Amino acid sequence: MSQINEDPLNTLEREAVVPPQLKGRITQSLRDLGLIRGPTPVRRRLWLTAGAMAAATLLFVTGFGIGRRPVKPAADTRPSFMLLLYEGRDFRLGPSLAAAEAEYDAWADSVQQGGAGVVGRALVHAAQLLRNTPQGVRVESEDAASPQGMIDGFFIIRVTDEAEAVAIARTHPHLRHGGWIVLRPIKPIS
Amino acid sequence: MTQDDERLLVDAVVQRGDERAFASLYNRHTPALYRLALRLTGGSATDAEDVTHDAWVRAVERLATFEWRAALRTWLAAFVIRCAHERNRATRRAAQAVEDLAVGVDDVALRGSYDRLDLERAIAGLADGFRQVFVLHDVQGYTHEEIADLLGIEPGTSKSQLSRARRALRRVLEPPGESA
Repeated sequence: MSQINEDPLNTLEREAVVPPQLKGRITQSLRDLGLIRGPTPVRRRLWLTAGAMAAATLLFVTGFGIGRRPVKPAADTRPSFMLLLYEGRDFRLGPSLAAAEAEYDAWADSVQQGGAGVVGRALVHAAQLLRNTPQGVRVESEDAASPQGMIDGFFIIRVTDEAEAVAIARTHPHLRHGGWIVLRPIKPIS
Repeated sequence: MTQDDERLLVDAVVQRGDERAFASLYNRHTPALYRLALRLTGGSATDAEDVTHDAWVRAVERLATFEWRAALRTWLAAFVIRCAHERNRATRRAAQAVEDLAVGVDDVALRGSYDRLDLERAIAGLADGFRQVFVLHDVQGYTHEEIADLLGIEPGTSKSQLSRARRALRRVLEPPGESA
Protein backbone atom coordinates (compact mmCIF):
# COMPACT_ATOMS: atom_id res chain seq x y z
CA MET A 1 0.00 0.00 0.00
CA SER A 2 1.23 3.45 -0.79
CA GLN A 3 1.89 5.69 2.14
CA ILE A 4 1.76 9.43 1.66
CA ASN A 5 4.19 11.74 3.33
CA GLU A 6 3.89 15.49 3.77
CA ASP A 7 1.09 16.56 1.44
CA PRO A 8 -1.15 13.52 0.90
CA LEU A 9 -2.99 15.26 -1.91
CA ASN A 10 0.02 15.23 -4.21
CA THR A 11 -0.45 11.54 -4.93
CA LEU A 12 -4.10 11.94 -5.81
CA GLU A 13 -3.22 14.29 -8.64
CA ARG A 14 -0.86 11.86 -10.32
CA GLU A 15 -3.02 8.79 -10.23
CA ALA A 16 -5.53 9.25 -13.01
CA VAL A 17 -4.85 8.35 -16.63
CA VAL A 18 -7.46 9.36 -19.17
CA PRO A 19 -9.09 6.24 -20.65
CA PRO A 20 -7.81 5.93 -24.23
CA GLN A 21 -11.28 5.29 -25.62
CA LEU A 22 -12.71 8.51 -24.22
CA LYS A 23 -11.53 10.75 -27.03
CA GLY A 24 -13.17 8.53 -29.62
CA ARG A 25 -16.43 8.48 -27.66
CA ILE A 26 -16.58 12.24 -27.34
CA THR A 27 -15.53 12.84 -30.92
CA GLN A 28 -18.23 10.48 -32.19
CA SER A 29 -20.89 12.13 -30.03
CA LEU A 30 -19.91 15.57 -31.30
CA ARG A 31 -19.98 14.29 -34.89
CA ASP A 32 -23.41 12.77 -34.33
CA LEU A 33 -24.65 16.11 -33.05
CA GLY A 34 -23.14 17.89 -36.03
CA LEU A 35 -20.89 19.97 -33.80
CA ILE A 36 -17.65 18.87 -35.43
CA ARG A 37 -16.78 17.40 -38.78
CA GLY A 38 -14.03 15.04 -39.83
CA PRO A 39 -11.42 15.96 -42.39
CA THR A 40 -12.94 17.43 -45.52
CA PRO A 41 -11.71 16.54 -49.01
CA VAL A 42 -9.83 19.82 -49.06
CA ARG A 43 -8.07 19.06 -45.78
CA ARG A 44 -7.17 15.58 -46.91
CA ARG A 45 -5.20 17.23 -49.69
CA LEU A 46 -3.28 19.33 -47.20
CA TRP A 47 0.37 19.55 -48.06
CA LEU A 48 -0.11 17.08 -50.89
CA THR A 49 1.37 18.67 -53.96
CA ALA A 50 -0.02 17.75 -57.32
CA GLY A 51 1.70 16.20 -60.29
CA ALA A 52 3.80 13.27 -61.29
CA MET A 53 6.43 13.87 -58.63
CA ALA A 54 3.91 13.50 -55.84
CA ALA A 55 2.43 10.43 -57.44
CA ALA A 56 5.85 8.86 -57.75
CA THR A 57 6.63 9.69 -54.14
CA LEU A 58 3.32 8.26 -52.97
CA LEU A 59 4.20 5.06 -54.76
CA PHE A 60 7.44 5.07 -52.86
CA VAL A 61 5.68 5.73 -49.57
CA THR A 62 3.34 2.83 -50.19
CA GLY A 63 6.31 0.58 -50.71
CA PHE A 64 7.91 1.87 -47.55
CA GLY A 65 4.76 1.35 -45.55
CA ILE A 66 4.32 -2.29 -46.44
CA GLY A 67 7.89 -3.35 -45.91
CA ARG A 68 9.22 -5.93 -48.34
CA ARG A 69 6.21 -6.15 -50.59
CA PRO A 70 7.52 -5.71 -54.15
CA VAL A 71 6.65 -2.31 -55.50
CA LYS A 72 7.62 -1.02 -58.86
CA PRO A 73 10.32 1.59 -58.16
CA ALA A 74 9.49 5.18 -58.89
CA ALA A 75 11.40 6.85 -61.68
CA ASP A 76 13.08 9.25 -59.26
CA THR A 77 15.95 7.42 -57.56
CA ARG A 78 17.26 10.31 -55.49
CA PRO A 79 17.54 9.66 -51.73
CA SER A 80 14.49 10.45 -49.64
CA PHE A 81 14.30 12.11 -46.25
CA MET A 82 11.48 12.40 -43.78
CA LEU A 83 10.77 15.60 -41.90
CA LEU A 84 8.86 14.94 -38.68
CA LEU A 85 7.21 18.11 -37.44
CA TYR A 86 6.96 18.32 -33.68
CA GLU A 87 4.88 20.78 -31.70
CA GLY A 88 7.29 21.85 -28.97
CA ARG A 89 6.49 23.87 -25.90
CA ASP A 90 7.10 27.15 -27.70
CA PHE A 91 4.92 26.32 -30.67
CA ARG A 92 2.62 29.15 -31.77
CA LEU A 93 -0.07 28.47 -34.29
CA GLY A 94 -0.06 31.87 -36.00
CA PRO A 95 -3.02 33.96 -37.07
CA SER A 96 -5.27 31.00 -37.92
CA LEU A 97 -5.30 27.31 -38.70
CA ALA A 98 -6.19 28.02 -42.31
CA ALA A 99 -3.30 30.46 -42.62
CA ALA A 100 -0.87 27.91 -41.23
CA GLU A 101 -2.13 25.25 -43.62
CA ALA A 102 -1.78 27.63 -46.54
CA GLU A 103 1.71 28.54 -45.40
CA TYR A 104 2.79 24.91 -45.26
CA ASP A 105 1.23 24.22 -48.65
CA ALA A 106 3.09 27.19 -50.09
CA TRP A 107 6.34 25.87 -48.67
CA ALA A 108 5.73 22.48 -50.31
CA ASP A 109 4.96 24.17 -53.61
CA SER A 110 8.13 26.23 -53.46
CA VAL A 111 10.23 23.16 -52.65
CA GLN A 112 8.74 21.32 -55.58
CA GLN A 113 9.30 24.25 -57.90
CA GLY A 114 12.94 24.16 -56.78
CA GLY A 115 13.25 20.67 -58.20
CA ALA A 116 12.85 18.51 -55.13
CA GLY A 117 10.10 15.95 -54.79
CA VAL A 118 7.82 16.56 -51.84
CA VAL A 119 4.77 15.02 -50.27
CA GLY A 120 3.35 15.55 -46.82
CA ARG A 121 0.36 15.17 -44.59
CA ALA A 122 -0.94 16.76 -41.46
CA LEU A 123 -1.73 14.42 -38.58
CA VAL A 124 -4.87 14.65 -36.46
CA HIS A 125 -4.18 15.21 -32.78
CA ALA A 126 -5.51 11.86 -31.69
CA ALA A 127 -2.78 9.53 -30.58
CA GLN A 128 -2.46 6.39 -28.51
CA LEU A 129 0.79 5.06 -27.15
CA LEU A 130 1.06 1.26 -27.13
CA ARG A 131 3.83 -0.51 -25.28
CA ASN A 132 4.50 -3.96 -24.00
CA THR A 133 4.51 -4.45 -20.26
CA PRO A 134 4.71 -7.54 -18.06
CA GLN A 135 0.91 -7.30 -17.79
CA GLY A 136 0.47 -7.22 -21.58
CA VAL A 137 0.18 -4.48 -24.15
CA ARG A 138 -0.77 -1.21 -22.51
CA VAL A 139 -2.57 1.51 -24.42
CA GLU A 140 -2.36 5.05 -23.14
CA SER A 141 -3.50 8.37 -24.48
CA GLU A 142 -0.57 10.15 -26.05
CA ASP A 143 -0.93 13.34 -24.05
CA ALA A 144 -0.50 11.34 -20.86
CA ALA A 145 2.47 9.39 -22.08
CA SER A 146 4.58 11.19 -24.66
CA PRO A 147 7.44 13.25 -23.28
CA GLN A 148 8.45 14.52 -26.71
CA GLY A 149 5.35 16.41 -27.67
CA MET A 150 2.81 16.05 -30.42
CA ILE A 151 3.80 15.31 -34.02
CA ASP A 152 1.80 17.69 -36.22
CA GLY A 153 2.65 16.10 -39.53
CA PHE A 154 5.38 14.97 -41.84
CA PHE A 155 6.95 15.62 -45.21
CA ILE A 156 9.00 13.34 -47.38
CA ILE A 157 11.39 15.02 -49.76
CA ARG A 158 13.52 13.64 -52.57
CA VAL A 159 16.76 15.52 -52.97
CA THR A 160 20.33 15.07 -54.11
CA ASP A 161 21.88 14.50 -50.72
CA GLU A 162 21.58 15.16 -46.98
CA ALA A 163 23.05 18.65 -47.25
CA GLU A 164 20.25 19.67 -49.60
CA ALA A 165 17.70 18.05 -47.32
CA VAL A 166 18.98 20.07 -44.36
CA ALA A 167 18.99 23.25 -46.42
CA ILE A 168 15.37 22.68 -47.43
CA ALA A 169 14.27 21.72 -43.91
CA ARG A 170 15.78 24.94 -42.55
CA THR A 171 13.28 26.93 -44.60
CA HIS A 172 10.21 25.16 -43.26
CA PRO A 173 7.71 27.56 -41.64
CA HIS A 174 7.16 25.13 -38.77
CA LEU A 175 10.45 26.35 -37.30
CA ARG A 176 9.28 29.96 -37.38
CA HIS A 177 6.19 28.92 -35.42
CA GLY A 178 8.42 27.58 -32.65
CA GLY A 179 8.06 23.92 -33.61
CA TRP A 180 10.98 21.64 -34.30
CA ILE A 181 11.82 19.18 -37.01
CA VAL A 182 13.50 15.80 -36.97
CA LEU A 183 15.08 15.00 -40.33
CA ARG A 184 15.80 11.36 -41.05
CA PRO A 185 17.01 9.53 -44.17
CA ILE A 186 14.61 6.89 -45.40
CA LYS A 187 16.21 3.54 -46.06
CA PRO A 188 16.01 2.73 -49.78
CA ILE A 189 14.09 -0.32 -50.89
CA SER A 190 16.61 -2.98 -51.75
CA MET B 1 -0.01 27.21 -26.28
CA THR B 2 -1.12 30.76 -25.57
CA GLN B 3 -4.64 32.00 -24.96
CA ASP B 4 -4.53 33.48 -28.46
CA ASP B 5 -3.89 30.01 -29.85
CA GLU B 6 -6.79 28.70 -27.80
CA ARG B 7 -9.04 31.39 -29.20
CA LEU B 8 -8.12 30.31 -32.72
CA LEU B 9 -8.91 26.72 -31.90
CA VAL B 10 -12.21 27.64 -30.28
CA ASP B 11 -13.12 29.79 -33.29
CA ALA B 12 -12.24 26.92 -35.62
CA VAL B 13 -14.55 24.57 -33.71
CA VAL B 14 -17.39 27.08 -33.47
CA GLN B 15 -17.22 28.38 -37.03
CA ARG B 16 -16.18 25.31 -38.99
CA GLY B 17 -16.68 22.38 -36.66
CA ASP B 18 -12.99 21.71 -37.11
CA GLU B 19 -12.31 18.29 -35.61
CA ARG B 20 -8.57 18.82 -35.56
CA ALA B 21 -8.98 21.99 -33.55
CA PHE B 22 -11.27 20.18 -31.12
CA ALA B 23 -8.68 17.42 -30.76
CA SER B 24 -6.09 20.01 -29.76
CA LEU B 25 -8.40 21.44 -27.12
CA TYR B 26 -9.22 17.94 -25.92
CA ASN B 27 -5.58 16.96 -25.59
CA ARG B 28 -4.78 20.10 -23.68
CA HIS B 29 -7.58 20.06 -21.14
CA THR B 30 -8.91 16.55 -20.73
CA PRO B 31 -6.31 15.14 -18.33
CA ALA B 32 -7.15 17.84 -15.78
CA LEU B 33 -10.89 17.60 -16.42
CA TYR B 34 -10.85 13.83 -16.09
CA ARG B 35 -8.93 14.02 -12.82
CA LEU B 36 -11.46 16.50 -11.55
CA ALA B 37 -14.33 14.23 -12.62
CA LEU B 38 -12.67 11.28 -10.94
CA ARG B 39 -12.43 13.12 -7.65
CA LEU B 40 -15.95 14.49 -7.83
CA THR B 41 -17.46 11.09 -8.54
CA GLY B 42 -15.71 9.47 -5.62
CA GLY B 43 -13.06 7.67 -7.65
CA SER B 44 -15.32 5.79 -10.05
CA ALA B 45 -13.51 5.54 -13.41
CA THR B 46 -16.74 4.66 -15.22
CA ASP B 47 -18.60 7.64 -13.79
CA ALA B 48 -15.64 9.94 -14.40
CA GLU B 49 -15.49 8.91 -18.04
CA ASP B 50 -19.21 9.52 -18.49
CA VAL B 51 -18.99 12.86 -16.71
CA THR B 52 -16.05 13.99 -18.83
CA HIS B 53 -17.88 12.90 -21.96
CA ASP B 54 -21.07 14.73 -21.04
CA ALA B 55 -19.15 17.81 -19.95
CA TRP B 56 -17.29 18.08 -23.24
CA VAL B 57 -20.44 17.59 -25.29
CA ARG B 58 -22.30 20.27 -23.34
CA ALA B 59 -19.32 22.60 -23.46
CA VAL B 60 -18.92 22.30 -27.23
CA GLU B 61 -22.65 22.89 -27.65
CA ARG B 62 -22.23 26.18 -25.80
CA LEU B 63 -18.74 27.06 -26.97
CA ALA B 64 -19.99 29.98 -29.05
CA THR B 65 -21.23 31.63 -25.86
CA PHE B 66 -17.86 31.50 -24.10
CA GLU B 67 -16.75 35.09 -23.56
CA TRP B 68 -13.18 34.56 -22.32
CA ARG B 69 -13.83 36.32 -19.02
CA ALA B 70 -12.31 33.29 -17.30
CA ALA B 71 -9.72 30.78 -18.41
CA LEU B 72 -11.12 28.22 -20.82
CA ARG B 73 -10.20 25.39 -18.44
CA THR B 74 -12.12 27.02 -15.62
CA TRP B 75 -15.14 27.35 -17.88
CA LEU B 76 -14.83 23.71 -18.91
CA ALA B 77 -14.43 22.64 -15.29
CA ALA B 78 -17.82 24.15 -14.52
CA PHE B 79 -19.41 21.65 -16.91
CA VAL B 80 -17.57 18.80 -15.21
CA ILE B 81 -18.79 19.97 -11.82
CA ARG B 82 -22.36 20.25 -13.04
CA CYS B 83 -22.35 16.85 -14.72
CA ALA B 84 -20.70 15.20 -11.72
CA HIS B 85 -23.25 16.75 -9.41
CA GLU B 86 -26.11 15.45 -11.53
CA ARG B 87 -24.59 12.00 -11.70
CA ASN B 88 -23.92 11.87 -7.99
CA ARG B 89 -27.45 12.91 -7.27
CA ALA B 90 -28.74 10.24 -9.61
CA THR B 91 -26.61 7.48 -8.17
CA ARG B 92 -26.91 8.67 -4.57
CA ARG B 93 -23.21 8.21 -4.24
CA ALA B 94 -23.12 10.76 -1.48
CA ALA B 95 -25.54 8.84 0.70
CA GLN B 96 -22.85 8.00 3.20
CA ALA B 97 -21.99 11.58 3.92
CA VAL B 98 -19.70 12.25 6.82
CA GLU B 99 -20.99 15.74 7.38
CA ASP B 100 -21.93 14.99 10.97
CA LEU B 101 -18.35 14.13 11.78
CA ALA B 102 -17.18 17.65 11.07
CA VAL B 103 -17.00 18.66 14.67
CA GLY B 104 -14.15 19.60 16.94
CA VAL B 105 -11.17 18.90 14.72
CA ASP B 106 -8.58 21.40 13.56
CA ASP B 107 -9.28 23.14 10.26
CA VAL B 108 -5.93 22.86 8.54
CA ALA B 109 -4.75 21.35 5.27
CA LEU B 110 -4.16 17.65 5.53
CA ARG B 111 -0.58 16.84 6.48
CA GLY B 112 1.08 13.72 7.64
CA SER B 113 1.07 10.13 6.52
CA TYR B 114 -2.15 8.56 5.31
CA ASP B 115 -2.85 5.50 3.31
CA ARG B 116 -3.88 6.67 -0.11
CA LEU B 117 -6.82 4.32 -0.30
CA ASP B 118 -8.09 5.57 3.05
CA LEU B 119 -7.85 9.08 1.75
CA GLU B 120 -9.66 8.16 -1.46
CA ARG B 121 -12.46 6.55 0.52
CA ALA B 122 -12.69 9.47 2.89
CA ILE B 123 -13.00 11.97 0.05
CA ALA B 124 -15.55 9.76 -1.68
CA GLY B 125 -17.55 9.70 1.54
CA LEU B 126 -17.84 13.46 1.79
CA ALA B 127 -21.17 15.05 1.07
CA ASP B 128 -21.37 16.32 -2.50
CA GLY B 129 -21.01 20.00 -1.62
CA PHE B 130 -18.06 19.35 0.67
CA ARG B 131 -16.36 17.16 -1.86
CA GLN B 132 -16.75 19.72 -4.64
CA VAL B 133 -15.11 22.49 -2.64
CA PHE B 134 -12.43 20.26 -1.15
CA VAL B 135 -11.44 18.79 -4.51
CA LEU B 136 -11.50 22.12 -6.28
CA HIS B 137 -9.47 23.91 -3.60
CA ASP B 138 -7.13 21.39 -2.05
CA VAL B 139 -6.66 19.01 -4.97
CA GLN B 140 -7.14 21.15 -8.07
CA GLY B 141 -5.80 24.40 -6.65
CA TYR B 142 -8.69 26.74 -7.45
CA THR B 143 -9.11 29.84 -5.32
CA HIS B 144 -12.23 30.47 -3.27
CA GLU B 145 -13.19 33.23 -5.68
CA GLU B 146 -12.91 30.85 -8.64
CA ILE B 147 -14.85 28.18 -6.80
CA ALA B 148 -17.54 30.70 -5.99
CA ASP B 149 -17.87 31.48 -9.70
CA LEU B 150 -17.89 27.82 -10.66
CA LEU B 151 -20.48 26.74 -8.12
CA GLY B 152 -22.56 29.88 -7.98
CA ILE B 153 -21.92 30.44 -4.28
CA GLU B 154 -20.27 33.14 -2.17
CA PRO B 155 -16.51 32.90 -1.51
CA GLY B 156 -17.31 32.80 2.20
CA THR B 157 -19.49 29.76 1.65
CA SER B 158 -16.65 28.10 -0.20
CA LYS B 159 -14.33 28.77 2.74
CA SER B 160 -16.73 27.40 5.30
CA GLN B 161 -17.47 24.33 3.16
CA LEU B 162 -13.75 23.68 2.83
CA SER B 163 -13.27 24.09 6.55
CA ARG B 164 -16.00 21.57 7.32
CA ALA B 165 -14.74 19.17 4.65
CA ARG B 166 -11.25 19.22 6.12
CA ARG B 167 -12.58 18.64 9.60
CA ALA B 168 -14.65 15.75 8.37
CA LEU B 169 -11.71 14.19 6.59
CA ARG B 170 -9.44 14.64 9.55
CA ARG B 171 -12.02 13.08 11.80
CA VAL B 172 -12.25 10.05 9.51
CA LEU B 173 -8.53 9.71 8.90
CA GLU B 174 -7.43 10.38 12.46
CA PRO B 175 -9.59 8.52 14.94
CA PRO B 176 -9.82 10.01 18.46
CA GLY B 177 -6.53 9.87 20.30
CA GLU B 178 -4.40 9.89 17.15
CA SER B 179 -4.76 13.57 16.25
CA ALA B 180 -1.58 15.65 16.41
